[in-house]
Amino acid sequence: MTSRTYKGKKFVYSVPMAKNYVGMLDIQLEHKHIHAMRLIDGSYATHFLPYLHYDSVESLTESVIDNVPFFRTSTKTK
Amino acid sequence: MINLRKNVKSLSPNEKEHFIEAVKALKANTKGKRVADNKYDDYVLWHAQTMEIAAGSDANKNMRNRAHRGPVFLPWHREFLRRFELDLQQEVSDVTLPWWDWTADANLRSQDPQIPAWTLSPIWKEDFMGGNGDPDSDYIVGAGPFKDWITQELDDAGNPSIKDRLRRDFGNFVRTLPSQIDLYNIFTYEFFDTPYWDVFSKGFSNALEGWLNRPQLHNRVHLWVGGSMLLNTSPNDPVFFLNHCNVDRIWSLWQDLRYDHGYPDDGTIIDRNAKKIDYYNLSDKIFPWQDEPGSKSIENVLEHRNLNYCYVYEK
Repeated sequence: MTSRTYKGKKFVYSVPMAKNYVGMLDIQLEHKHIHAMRLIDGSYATHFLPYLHYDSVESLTESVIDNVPFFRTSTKTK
Repeated sequence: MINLRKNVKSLSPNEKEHFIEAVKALKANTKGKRVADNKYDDYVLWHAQTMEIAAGSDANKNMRNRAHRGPVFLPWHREFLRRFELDLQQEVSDVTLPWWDWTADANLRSQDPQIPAWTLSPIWKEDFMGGNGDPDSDYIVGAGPFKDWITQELDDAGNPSIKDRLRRDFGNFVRTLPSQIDLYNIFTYEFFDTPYWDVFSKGFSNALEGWLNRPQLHNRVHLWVGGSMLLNTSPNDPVFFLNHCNVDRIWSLWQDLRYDHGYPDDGTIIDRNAKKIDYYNLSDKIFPWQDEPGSKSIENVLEHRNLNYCYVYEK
């Protein structure tokens, strides 16, 4: 597992080793799962932000922190 | 009488006022609510919760769900919008949904570099949708009719336990709105959609939703507006309905040009496991209203004129 902090919020995740892995990802943002998936084209997606696919777990999680009300810690995220 | 849906730029001050009045009345209407705290938020939850359900035995919800990422996207939103429009008319009888031609806004150029081009668009004036969010207030919309708009959001378990403020952050995720060339390009798609009917399939529907050469068209508009429009609760922003009205209009244009409704002729949508996808087939009732008396099937909504509305074009 890898951990990282963005805007004061810690998230822990593991990137699948298999190059062609498709399915759920284990990403915990302050102990809450963010229900992210890796798709067959190698992009990452979450239903919380349904109009965009991401290139990495990190960019997806940072976007969740910035934009999803439930995961925002404060009214100032930017 | 048939309902006429107009371009936002052609609305009279009176028509704009009536539209805003109807939207606000729907938000204040708690008597006829179904799944949320008020009739407006019913649409927010219907949209978000329908996205939560994967469609087909071979897909997760990010590949194909009951309202998006598959050929049901356009029929589902057509029914969604028509229901919303009929509910607005219960509040203010002469209201119809207007369409936002975002390709026209993509061409706007400001003479003054200090003044953003979007300020030139009639949609964002203070007498209609209001403007951008305030960067000093976490992008909360602070002007216009929706400056005090409270949004309904979901928690991590999908429960509607959170209230928030309407937020916009124009041009942060993507710098530009879809252009006319982007739009013209999708008219080259001969097929409405193709197997296996998911976010990766090639066809008009998926191109208009915005997954081909992403992010394009419908998706790109959500991203350009930003804030509340980024989320699965995106109908919280009333501009959602003006974007989708334009998307529905573009589908109707494609249908008229092709003399074809587009949906596969045999009426069945089969997944990779050779199973029919529930709520995707022509005769399937549209989720989540399938058990209501008089509920519509996908086949029922393919011809928009049968739903008693049409689009008005002005020179």
